[in-house]
Amino acid sequence: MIRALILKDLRLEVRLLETFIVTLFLCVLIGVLFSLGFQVSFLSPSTAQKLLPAALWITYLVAASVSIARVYEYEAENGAMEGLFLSGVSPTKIYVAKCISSLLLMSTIQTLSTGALIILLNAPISFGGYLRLCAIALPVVFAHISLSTLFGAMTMASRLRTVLLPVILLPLLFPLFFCAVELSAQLITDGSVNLESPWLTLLIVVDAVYFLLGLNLYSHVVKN
Amino acid sequence: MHPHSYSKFVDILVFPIIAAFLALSNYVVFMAVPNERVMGAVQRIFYFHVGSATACYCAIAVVLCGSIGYLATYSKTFDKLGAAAAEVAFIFCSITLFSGMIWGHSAWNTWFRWEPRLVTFLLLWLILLSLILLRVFGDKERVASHAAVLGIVGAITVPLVIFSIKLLPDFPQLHPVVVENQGLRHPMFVRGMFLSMGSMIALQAYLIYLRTRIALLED
Repeated sequence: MIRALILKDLRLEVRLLETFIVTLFLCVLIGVLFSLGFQVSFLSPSTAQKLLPAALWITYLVAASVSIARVYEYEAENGAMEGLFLSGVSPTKIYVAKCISSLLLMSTIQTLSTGALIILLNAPISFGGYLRLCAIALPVVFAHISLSTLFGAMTMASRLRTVLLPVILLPLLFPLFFCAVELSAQLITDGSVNLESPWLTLLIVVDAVYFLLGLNLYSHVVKN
Repeated sequence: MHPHSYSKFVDILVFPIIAAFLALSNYVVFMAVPNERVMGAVQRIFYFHVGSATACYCAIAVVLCGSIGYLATYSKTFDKLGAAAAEVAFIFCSITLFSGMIWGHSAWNTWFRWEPRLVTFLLLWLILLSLILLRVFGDKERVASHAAVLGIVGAITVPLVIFSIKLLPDFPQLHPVVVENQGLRHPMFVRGMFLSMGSMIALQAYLIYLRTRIALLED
């Protein structure tokens, strides 16, 4: 059943490409604003390297938090969510399926926007460094998706859903933001992440806490 | 005891006790505690600052309890308790931030510095504000369960925020660590601190009680 739900969401996204294109474009747009604001032409390579982690994660978290609401709007518009519950699918399975499908979508977007930002900020990152940045992004995106799937369902019926979701979501993402920036900075300067780093431990804790909270609380969010 | 008699009991007995406690702590803070050697009279903001911070943490704990209670029982009382506690926590968080800024400006000539405890309270303030905004703009039919979920996630995020900020290496430690470094040597400093903390916590509890009662009566 979870596999069917994942394939449904992915098929919908592949056919429409709305969330993918808009989120990616928003990431690039914010990246352009950063590069213009920082006046990248006058930055030294080492300064660009120092700015990259923060720029990368501000771009992704803002763009993804604004656009993830669209994932729920498809179902809200046609009453598909009600149909899912009437079919007897448990909310927990719907939550897990949405997390996995959103993770696939958002990690693809994050990979592409990382490349775009490296180019826009003119940061001297090797291809290996780029791949390592994408790898460390996976647990960060997973924690973000765990929370945004939970709160996306919450704001679906509100008239301010597009604005309310980032307002609720972003303050809760600060620990995740700190982990993402510090681990990305470690990867860029040292070439690898210290496995005993407290930031890695905190990231794993944040992933586990947010996913478990989502798993247990999702049914309360969607229940009438 | 009938609820009406219970609330009369609280109004007649508890309110004067809390008022007297607040009056006593203010007297001790302004009259009994000596001036601090370096900062002088400005240092007295510390008693309201620390008391508000403690009251804010206590109110967040009440938000967590109210949210869990609501999801477990779907009782309106727990929903109103959670809402009241979130508002009171927001007020005390605001007092902590503003008193910290006033103190910071007097002591270090800076309104706001990216220092761990101030940043922690700024992030708490944003989380509490998002909780209030959800209650105002959320889906009216399901706002109680949505706010309870956000209350639980927000309250559990608080220790994560505190821990993650402590890990940040470059923040300058501007915040005076008065207790750990045995800064409060005069016994009146310690008494003043604990009295103001106790009075703020009592005030916080009473405000939550009053706000919950008003919300239940409005329904």
